[in-house]
Amino acid sequence: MSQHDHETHACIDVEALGAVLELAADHPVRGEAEACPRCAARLEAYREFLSQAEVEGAREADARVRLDAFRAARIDAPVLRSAGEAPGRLGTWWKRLGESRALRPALVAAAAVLVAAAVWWQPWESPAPVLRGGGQDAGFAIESVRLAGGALDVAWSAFAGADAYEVRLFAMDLTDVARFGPVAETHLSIPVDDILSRAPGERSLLCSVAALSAGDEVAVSTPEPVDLR
Amino acid sequence: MSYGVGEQFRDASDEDLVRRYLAAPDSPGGRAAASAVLGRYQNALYLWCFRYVRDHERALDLVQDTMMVAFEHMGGFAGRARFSSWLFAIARNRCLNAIRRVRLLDDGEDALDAVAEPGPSPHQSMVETEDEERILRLIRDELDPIEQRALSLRCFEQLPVDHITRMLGVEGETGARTVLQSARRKLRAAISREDQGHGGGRIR
Repeated sequence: MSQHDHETHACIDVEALGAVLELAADHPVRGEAEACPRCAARLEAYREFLSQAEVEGAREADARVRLDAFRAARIDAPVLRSAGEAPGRLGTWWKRLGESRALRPALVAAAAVLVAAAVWWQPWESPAPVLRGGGQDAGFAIESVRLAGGALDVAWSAFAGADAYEVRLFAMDLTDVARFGPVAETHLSIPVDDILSRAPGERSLLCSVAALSAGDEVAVSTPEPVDLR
Repeated sequence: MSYGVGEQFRDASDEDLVRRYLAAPDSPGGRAAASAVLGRYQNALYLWCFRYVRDHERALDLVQDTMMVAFEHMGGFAGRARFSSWLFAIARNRCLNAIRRVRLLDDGEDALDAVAEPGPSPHQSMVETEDEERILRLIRDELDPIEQRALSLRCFEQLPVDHITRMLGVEGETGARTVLQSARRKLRAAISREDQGHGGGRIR
């Protein structure tokens, strides 16, 4: 490898990969990097990172909803954090907030609004060839969520190509605590007792509906707040 | 993330968004800029982390940790690098810390290698010390290009074998596994030759 002198070569920092990749293909620095197995592997890994190539088993739609909510809670709205509190995982923060009964309904509603904004409005993203989650699921939404007669009644719009739907409930820490279905209809009545048995102590939840096709998730609705009290 | 102020970010570069955050880190606009630039990469981060841990919840944990570290240390991003590779470096470190390190000459994914070469072997000391600089030279000198790529992605980037199979477009049922086994056999043979003084002697 004529461009590579392994006696003097220093492998490129990972942080510098972006700059190296922008160099012309015949630039000496890039040539040297491509000639070193370790640097070449780093460059290839970085390209792969940027490509967002699909990975079997990954649940991108669910990840999008939860990471949008995470950013909404931890980055966009850190003003809600107590003074001096060290940043940490969302679960602890949410649970502490959840201890405030007065704030809780308002916070759940605020979180839902932020999640909705995150899911529906992503102006910087270029059109994606692959359905990746709620952000591309325009038209698929929860139409109503209401408590009546000891049951939570959820209704949603139909999604083209879906053959079943699943109602998903998230706890305050945004973990997936219960799933109901799949059902072929576009509504479901879930006894509150069933919810509480699977999410004990959780009175404030987020509700989302996933559209399925042959068992695969093809769309996820924007989450809606649910208050079981 | 936008949340009402995101429209202005549509055409902003990553580095512009970081500058906006650093100019007003306590303002809603500044935080929105930070959230926006992290949001641009959250799916890439999730997929990258999922490749390593193959577990949805663990991958989300890694992404959240990566985002928080990046957010808290955005002031340390001086714009010398591209934001994307700065963020990638954080995620990569977290992923590598989260998994068992793959050794250059021995790999749990290549159990057949141990059968092929039972008992004490000349490369034993290198397996233990992982003399990477020497092995780097041998990788360059002894392996064909696809073997170089496969072994480097596996051992330096610690990527899963099935993912390397896809990246390299390797055909066949065993995918990159066969390529990796072949690469390791060649390396061991080269090391043995050098250690026995038949291939130019020891480098150091």
